[in-house]
Amino acid sequence: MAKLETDFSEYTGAHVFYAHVPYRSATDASGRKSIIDGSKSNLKMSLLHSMFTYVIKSTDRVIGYIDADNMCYILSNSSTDIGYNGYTDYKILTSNYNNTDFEYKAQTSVEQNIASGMIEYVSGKKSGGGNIISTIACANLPTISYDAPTYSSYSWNTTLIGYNAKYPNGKLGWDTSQILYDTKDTTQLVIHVDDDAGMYGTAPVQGTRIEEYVTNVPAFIGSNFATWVEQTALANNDILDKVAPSNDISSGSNIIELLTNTMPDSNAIIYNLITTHDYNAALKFLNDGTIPADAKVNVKKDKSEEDSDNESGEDGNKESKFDENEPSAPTVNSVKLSNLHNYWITQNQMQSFYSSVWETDLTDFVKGAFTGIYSNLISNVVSLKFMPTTAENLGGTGDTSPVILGFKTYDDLTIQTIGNTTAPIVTIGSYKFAKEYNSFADYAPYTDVKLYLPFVGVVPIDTNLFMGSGGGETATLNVKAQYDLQSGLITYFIMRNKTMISSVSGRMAVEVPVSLQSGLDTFSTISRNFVGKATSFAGNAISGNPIGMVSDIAQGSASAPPQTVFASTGGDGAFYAHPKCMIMIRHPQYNRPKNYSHVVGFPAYVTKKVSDLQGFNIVQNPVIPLADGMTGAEHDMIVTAMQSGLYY
Amino acid sequence: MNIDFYTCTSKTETVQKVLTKERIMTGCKLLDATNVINPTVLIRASDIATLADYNYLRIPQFNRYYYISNMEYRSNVVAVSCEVDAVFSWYAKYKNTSQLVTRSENIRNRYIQDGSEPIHSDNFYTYVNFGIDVFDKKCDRLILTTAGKGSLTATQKAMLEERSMK
Repeated sequence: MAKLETDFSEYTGAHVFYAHVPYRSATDASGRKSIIDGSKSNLKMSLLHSMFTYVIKSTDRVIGYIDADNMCYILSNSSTDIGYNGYTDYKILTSNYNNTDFEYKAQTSVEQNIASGMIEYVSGKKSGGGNIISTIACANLPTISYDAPTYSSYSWNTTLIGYNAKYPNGKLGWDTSQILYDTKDTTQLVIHVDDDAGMYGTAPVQGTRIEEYVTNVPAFIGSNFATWVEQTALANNDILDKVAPSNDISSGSNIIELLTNTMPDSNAIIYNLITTHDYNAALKFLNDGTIPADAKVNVKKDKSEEDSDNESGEDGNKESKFDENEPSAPTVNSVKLSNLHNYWITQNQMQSFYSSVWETDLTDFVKGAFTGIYSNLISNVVSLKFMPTTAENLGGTGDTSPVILGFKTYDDLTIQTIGNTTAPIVTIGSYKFAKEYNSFADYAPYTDVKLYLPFVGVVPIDTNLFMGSGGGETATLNVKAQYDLQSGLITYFIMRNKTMISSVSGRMAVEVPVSLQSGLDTFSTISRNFVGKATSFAGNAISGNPIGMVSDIAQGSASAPPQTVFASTGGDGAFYAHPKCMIMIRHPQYNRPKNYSHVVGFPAYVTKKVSDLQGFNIVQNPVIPLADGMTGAEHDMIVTAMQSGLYY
Repeated sequence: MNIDFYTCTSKTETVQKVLTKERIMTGCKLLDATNVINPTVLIRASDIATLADYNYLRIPQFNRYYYISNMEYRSNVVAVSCEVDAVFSWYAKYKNTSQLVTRSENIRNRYIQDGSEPIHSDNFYTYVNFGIDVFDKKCDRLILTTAGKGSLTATQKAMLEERSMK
């Protein structure tokens, strides 16, 4: 949908609008297999899309109200609107391809909803069937004109349409003898649309019905018809291989009807009709012509018009492109590749750890002073962190195991290990943006969006990126995160729908000071001093009680610092904050008087024919030809008046 | 000459005027010295009584519409001063031209701010929490990270001691 809400004035009164309702989609294949030599001939394949086409001339205001179930109720003040419907088939039929390769390709762009895929006919086309109106080469599909729809199987006069049908799969039905009138409870024209996309063009979903002799057909086909063709035996030209050689098969539809249904979830296309999701606004429009704030109109485009430089961008309808680039976890992380051990340790277990270290047999240390194996024991405590999240977010817990510290294993102290696997990407949350005004006021610099992320702070968000960015619907802000227990960082991935637009990291973990120096390093110092001072009685020292020497030797060592169980840094303050993300939006407010549009006018900036103007309009630099007899003074009067504003 | 008199109920800024009470005045004359933009028309004094209803006229000879800007009563005629309504008179000549419409009552480009739409200085705000708790306020676990391979075997210890003694 273009940013410009287009020229609603063309659709606010009597006008013609169109509704194309998909009815049936079928793919047929047929062929003949010889009972003599098994050779195959007359292989053909066709793609059929049938649509009911309503061309409705309204004599008064008419509007489409789309409810939460995507049912579009077409409402009007008048019960005398004239409508007619036609039955239109689009059929693509291949020529006989016999034993030659069958060609197919994806159709990426067709007039909305007509076909989800295409068969490229190789050497001709052929029509058949009782109700085939037009057999159209697929290449021409985009240029089918809706101005003069082809139709058949209907009868009508000024008050009655001789066609009556129910919407597939029990959807609300309609009776075209009373197409339009009044409220949604009384209107008879109800059409299923997909307002997000389908109304403006997605392929219908098709079901499959599999009958005999078909291989490799997936159970359900989405929009990718080409994929289906590729997977069928038909495309491989072996569709008849499973047919018994004694059977001479000649009737196409009796062989197989590969794909047929009533397109239960397909979407109608509606052109040139104002639609809204606000029922009260719809009724108000019928009452006084006020255009709903969320009004849209799917303007039928004339594809034959060349797009000149001036026309290009007149309505700001360039669309953005967003590839998906969602974050994903790698197969390994740094911890798995290292010689580190991570323990998910409670406060009591931490106390036990300290006690265990303190209560280490000093004989070991004295011996270690000579061997050197404990000299750097404390350096094996890499870190102690407080990072309050679940174990799953950190990579999950493993087995409980004795604490390993350098060359020592504390068998009596078994603790849950953690982070043995790669930390997952955690979905933090989503926020779906909504426009307040459906106008420039929803965009920067008038509307400002910021995102608060715990441990990071406030992150500016590109408002325009989420408020439409190219004329589309508002986007969803998705926040995902990765918790890194090794670095203590939390990394946020900020996404627009499925496209990552930025990532930021914040320090989540609080490093807890570990004063094990009080135990292990002191012993190491003692030992080193002891070694340096008492080499001569090394033998006694080894067998003696080192505690007895502490008072003597300790004079040469630092005073033992007081032990701290664990102390947090100032980072603890972050845990006092609210634990959720927050979106912070500053909206502007209009100060617009009620008669603003009538005496000042809304910004328009469009090229219009003067005769098409209604109400108050200001024209910039009017180009007025001097007609026969028009004086220069009169010309200037007209120009001045148009520049000042006139009521048409 | 005949001149069509009307009552115009439209605003002067309206292009296509709504005209009522049409009356064709016969025997009208143009003032000797007049012009097509602001002509003065002389009508009979006997028609004075009905002139009060009219504010607009069309002079067929000029093929133009005029506002009545003044009426001057003389001895036996009324001099009606006129001002041409060029916008309405020539509408048929320019109605099929395409123009750049910058502001409109019915055509609205909601996404253009041309500076004439007043914005209030008092903003309003939307602050919304969303998603799960990023951290767990009830978490009571620490993460202890150590390095090492664990205790030596008795043989390894003996070897080290022996080496150190040497």
